[in-house]
Amino acid sequence: MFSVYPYTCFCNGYLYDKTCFGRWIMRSKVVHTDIIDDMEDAVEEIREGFSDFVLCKNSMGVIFAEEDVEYEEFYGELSKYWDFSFIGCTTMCMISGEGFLHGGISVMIMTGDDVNFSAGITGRLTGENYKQELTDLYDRLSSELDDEVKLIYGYSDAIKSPGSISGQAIVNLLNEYSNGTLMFGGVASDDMDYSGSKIFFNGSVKEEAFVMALISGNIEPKYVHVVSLDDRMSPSYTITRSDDNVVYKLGDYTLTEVLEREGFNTDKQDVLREYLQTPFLLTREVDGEKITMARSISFINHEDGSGVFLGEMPEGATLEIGYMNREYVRSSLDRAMNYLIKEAQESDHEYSTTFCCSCISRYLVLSNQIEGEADGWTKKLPEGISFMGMYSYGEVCPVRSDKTGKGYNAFHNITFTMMAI
Amino acid sequence: MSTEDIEALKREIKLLKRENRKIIRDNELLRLANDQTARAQEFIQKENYRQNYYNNQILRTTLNIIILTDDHLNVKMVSNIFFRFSKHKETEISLGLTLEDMLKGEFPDDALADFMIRSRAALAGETIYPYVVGGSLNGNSFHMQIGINPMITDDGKIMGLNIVFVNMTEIAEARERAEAANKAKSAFLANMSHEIRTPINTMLGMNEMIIREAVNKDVQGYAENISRAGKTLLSLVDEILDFTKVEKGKLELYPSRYELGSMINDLINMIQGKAEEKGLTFEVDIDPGIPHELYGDEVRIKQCISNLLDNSVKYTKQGTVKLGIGYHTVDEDHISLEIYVSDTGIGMKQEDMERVFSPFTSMDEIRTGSAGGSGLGMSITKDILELMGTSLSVDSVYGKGSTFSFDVVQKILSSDPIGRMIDKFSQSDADKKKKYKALFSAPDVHLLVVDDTDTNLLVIRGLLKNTGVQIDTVLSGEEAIASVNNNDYKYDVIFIDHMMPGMDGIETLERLKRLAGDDDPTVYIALTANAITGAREKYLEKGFDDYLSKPVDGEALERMLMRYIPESKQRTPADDSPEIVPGETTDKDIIPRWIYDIPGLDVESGIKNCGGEDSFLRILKTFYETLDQKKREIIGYFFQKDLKGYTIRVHAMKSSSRIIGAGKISALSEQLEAAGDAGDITFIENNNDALIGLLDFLQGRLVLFDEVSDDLISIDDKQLRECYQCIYESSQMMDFGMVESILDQVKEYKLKSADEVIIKEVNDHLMQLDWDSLVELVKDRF
Repeated sequence: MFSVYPYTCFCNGYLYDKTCFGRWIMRSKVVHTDIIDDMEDAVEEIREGFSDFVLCKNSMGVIFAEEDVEYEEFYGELSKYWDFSFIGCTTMCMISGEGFLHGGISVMIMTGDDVNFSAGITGRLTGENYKQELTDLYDRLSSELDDEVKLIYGYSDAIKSPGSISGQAIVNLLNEYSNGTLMFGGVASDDMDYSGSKIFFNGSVKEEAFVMALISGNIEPKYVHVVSLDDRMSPSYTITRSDDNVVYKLGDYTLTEVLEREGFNTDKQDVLREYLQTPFLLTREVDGEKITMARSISFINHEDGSGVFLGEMPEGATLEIGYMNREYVRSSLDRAMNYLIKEAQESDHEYSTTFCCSCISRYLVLSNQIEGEADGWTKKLPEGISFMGMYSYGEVCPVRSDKTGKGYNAFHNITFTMMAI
Repeated sequence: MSTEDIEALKREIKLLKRENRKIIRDNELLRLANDQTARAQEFIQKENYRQNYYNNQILRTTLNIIILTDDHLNVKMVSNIFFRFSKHKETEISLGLTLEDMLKGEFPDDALADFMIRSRAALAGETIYPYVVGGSLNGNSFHMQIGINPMITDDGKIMGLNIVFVNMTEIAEARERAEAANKAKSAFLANMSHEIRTPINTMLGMNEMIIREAVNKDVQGYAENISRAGKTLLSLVDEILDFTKVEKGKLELYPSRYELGSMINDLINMIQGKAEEKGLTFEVDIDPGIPHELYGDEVRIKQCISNLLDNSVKYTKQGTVKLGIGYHTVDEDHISLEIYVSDTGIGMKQEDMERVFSPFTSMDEIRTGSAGGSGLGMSITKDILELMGTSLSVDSVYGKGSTFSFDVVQKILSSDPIGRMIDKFSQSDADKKKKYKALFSAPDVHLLVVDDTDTNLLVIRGLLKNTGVQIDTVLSGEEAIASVNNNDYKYDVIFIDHMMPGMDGIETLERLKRLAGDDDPTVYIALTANAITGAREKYLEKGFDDYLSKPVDGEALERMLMRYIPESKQRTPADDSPEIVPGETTDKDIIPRWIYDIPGLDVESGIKNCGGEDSFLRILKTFYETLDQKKREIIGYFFQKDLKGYTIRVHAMKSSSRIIGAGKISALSEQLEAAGDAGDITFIENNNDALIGLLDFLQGRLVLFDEVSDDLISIDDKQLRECYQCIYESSQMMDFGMVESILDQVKEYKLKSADEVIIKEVNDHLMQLDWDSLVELVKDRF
């Protein structure tokens, strides 16, 4: 169930004041500032916003900032007041419980007596080191926790070049390494020139790396992902030759041949933006169950007709070209919110914190209607629930199988994801 | 410029750069949005093109005629197949053509007019359900299913019609073929059933003689087994005939007055023996308050109960079979009979209950897993009850037994209660167990029993078997009058059933008394199942001398006869006195006694019509020998629906049957002939089966003619050759009398089977005056 925080909560049918059984259960708050040119003033506004927020034994912060923010300076000011870890990333725009935010800095602080956090960042990830970097970081962070890791929460900066480590590769590795521990997060974004995206951990700012927080203790993550497209523009093609996130052949055709058959122009190489409204639907089998997810294409290689996608493209999976319908995009967020509220209400757990990650293509499709959309669904947010989200170049959230409803960690595109903890 | 100014300028430049970048971003987003829009537009166009292509494909290749119109019924689009059959060209559509103009000449005028009415109604918002139009155009028959659907816009307006014509001609023809095949099957079943009835009747007739005349108990036992099996076979054939009637929708109800007690008595007589044979207890539970005189289809109700009782006896190994009849009042004039048959048999599983009523699902199959019987009995019962507006209920526990029940509303004709049937039944049952000895013998006494139920007649005949009384039996009041009229002896006693179809017992009595005049020595006794108090007085008041209730008690019957038969005619039965066998030929008759016993055959009348006993016997035999052929012809014309041929054949049957004294057959033939002349096919369809049934029955009884020839002396070859020569010479001169005379003489001798066949053929040709065939047949035989 969702509880009213910070001053009251429902637990087992009784109203408690401030605490349950004498202990603070996890709660959180989000504060936003539009000031990005004076970090002292920005932090002051942020600090002011948290003035009534009481910290418990364990805390952690999350920061989403537009790419122009002098993050090191911002954190320098922030660290004067709070000594716990902050993780975060750049984003083109943000969402909070107040609605859509075009820019600025959003800060969430999560705190609790029975929740534990440990956070860290990798070095720059390459094909050679990413496994080592990621597993080392996971080992170190998990060793700092006394109990079982319940959530891997993190952000990457991963699409700088065709050789970047894909979000899917990171998810696959951590999923396997953590034995299927739930994951949530996204890929840092910028003003769509792909050069300004970064990730943060405390005072450190990095590109093409991964910042991660492991959370243990009294949380019960509930999640939902909604693919933002429904219409299909093409028949279904089977991937017959691929390597990780690169697709070479669909049946007897190269990827570019397929795109041309379906009426697309393939002149450009850097095509991430070109296909935002017409992304791809990938259907694959996991443990004998069919799972469908959206995929974005980022590069086309004219030499061999292959394409690089922002996620793993296994052989045997099927690919269709979708079309983002504005009405469907708008309603998909409503559906996600309704689903999550219902899930939380049916649970005995006390929920206080909600994250979301929305594909930047939604921004493109909804355009000037995006503010109205945010206004609509933020009204549905139960009172006292903190909510913070960013627009990403890729989303990480478990996928429910169509047969059993079991969750599988997955990397998505063109998707809206939400998680309550 | 101061340092502060420089710092401020730097901040300003940074801000401007940011703004500039955001403008670039927004421009890029706009470009992307434009690109996406253009792509979407392209996609939509492509989709439209594809959709158009698909639509055209459908219109070009569909085998259905599809017509789209606007809201003024102007044709806008038509599938290509239409133009293959139409005089119109595709180009005419684009020039503008109304729906009516387009279809004019393509449909029969009346069908088109109806179609246009429906189309306009659909345009006005009325729902038009798909319908089938059949007809003939330009010599070609067609069947079309037509669907008329409005095309509705998003705002609910009807913008035109989408009309689909599906060619059903082949399907309709296939259906017609299937129906014809089904009819042929039914006809075949009916025909075969008649064909099967004939030899069964023959078999039963012959067997009856064995039962009567066999002195060896083993032989009698075998014959009784044959009789039972034969009757079962006959009932199966009857079920098939009933089923074909159901299939043809010809099963009809013929309600009439009836006495419930009489019906119950018949049922008890019918089932009691079967139950006893299996060592079962047969119980009856009849509400004594049920009004005894009702109006309904007694025959069909009896058939239903009889089916249920037969089944219960068949599937009960030990224990009890029970018939229960109660009632409740529906209104002042009607009651609902509550009838049930229960048993302690093997019962049925829940999942099998629904299958009980499926045709061709044998109860054997359901109850024991093996097939047996026609599987039609319960289905027919269900159909009959449905026809009566009721239904059969089944309550069964597997391994414990079943109860079948139904209610049926009947009109009350007399509210007098039926009385305690059970007492009478039990008494009768108990008495049967006593050792029987006849109280008297009276071989000179003539008795007539009038009852419409064969079984009752047989019962009385059996009960009086050892008294030696001469018993005549008839099935109706009319026959009773004919019998009294035509006999040269007076009946000492006449038993008359009260409730009979046609002339009832009271009317029969009145007419017999009128016929007899004032000094009538005959004693008239009413036979009735009405067991209520005061019944005797009622019958005495009507003119009867006494009354005997059914089921008839043997001792009571004998005592009653002793009371009314003159003492001079009564003798004390001697222990060693020879048993008088019914059916034995009397001294004074040259006509075998068994012919007198044929129900429905008025021998005296036949003798009178034929001008003497000799002629009667000969004509009757001929009638028998040609009956098969005549029957086949009637059935053949019936199924060929050849009304003319049929009418001629029944006309012939009317005359020939009248001559031999088969009054019922003659009367029915006359009715059928009249129906044939009037073109009343319904009457013929409803009554042909009855005629064939009567003929089957008579044929089964006359089969004893074949037996009689065994007593004849063999003819020697020389004599026979002389006969053939005489026939040959007489035939050349077309001398009918001579050939007939020769044949009469030949028939006095026993022939070899080959010659028997030839003589029969000679007779057939003679009867048909086919002289050429006759000459051809005998020319080389002397």
